[in-house]
Amino acid sequence: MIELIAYIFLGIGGACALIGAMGILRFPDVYNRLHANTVVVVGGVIMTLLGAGLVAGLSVYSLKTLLIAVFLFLTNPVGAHAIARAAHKSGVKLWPRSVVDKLEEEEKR
Amino acid sequence: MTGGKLLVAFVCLFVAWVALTGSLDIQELAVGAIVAALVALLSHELLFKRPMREKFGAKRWGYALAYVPAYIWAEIKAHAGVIYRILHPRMPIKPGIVEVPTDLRTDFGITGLADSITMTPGTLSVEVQEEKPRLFVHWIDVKAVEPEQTKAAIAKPFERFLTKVFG
Repeated sequence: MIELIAYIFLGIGGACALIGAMGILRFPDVYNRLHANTVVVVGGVIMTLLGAGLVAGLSVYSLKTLLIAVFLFLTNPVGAHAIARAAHKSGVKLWPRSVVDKLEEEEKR
Repeated sequence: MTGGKLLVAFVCLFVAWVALTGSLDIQELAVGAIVAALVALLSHELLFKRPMREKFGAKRWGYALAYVPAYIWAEIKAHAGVIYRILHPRMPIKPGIVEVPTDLRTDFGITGLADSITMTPGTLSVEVQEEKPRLFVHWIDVKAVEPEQTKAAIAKPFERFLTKVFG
């Protein structure tokens, strides 16, 4: 039973990683691609880690996978935020068909 | 005060080291202690800018625990939305950066909200302003531009819990 759940987790993880990679290729600009990046990290990597932890059972290894998942949870949003903020500050334009940019309006004011 | 911060940072780092190496070998422990001490020395000043004012009581723990299923549900919905947009042949995205005001006032609360928003695909906090706390969020499917409506759509699911946990 636990093994079945673990394989479902691994399957979801693999699918999310693949779809996220497609998103990184398809989306038009930095900011949209970062959304696809989040799909890869949360859906892909963390689900894979949890699945691997379940396969290993309660041991040092599953503790490690859990810890790695926690650290990814803490560091990924910081990294994504830093990339997006740096991109906007250095003047990377939004996709031309984007509907609104309140931050740019705010900075011009 | 500084000594306390240093000790807390050292203990956290050392525990993480032991858990990640997964061995109690004397060499591993010695290297871990040295590395943890170095990193703690360099970073303890950044760890807590202001201490939390109130005690972390049972009620706050309750809301923190209740946040977990609510967060996972938000995460699943957001994943489904972005995956749909990636796989759809015409790629129905409508991106833009909107302003999201927040009721949260503490550093912990605002950080938690910004992180939660960034960790759900489809929303990404680009800028945080501390005075008159508000976030600028890149939204893959802009449904509203007015601050009150963006707040209801983006921040509310997380804020409901975070105000109770961090204030």
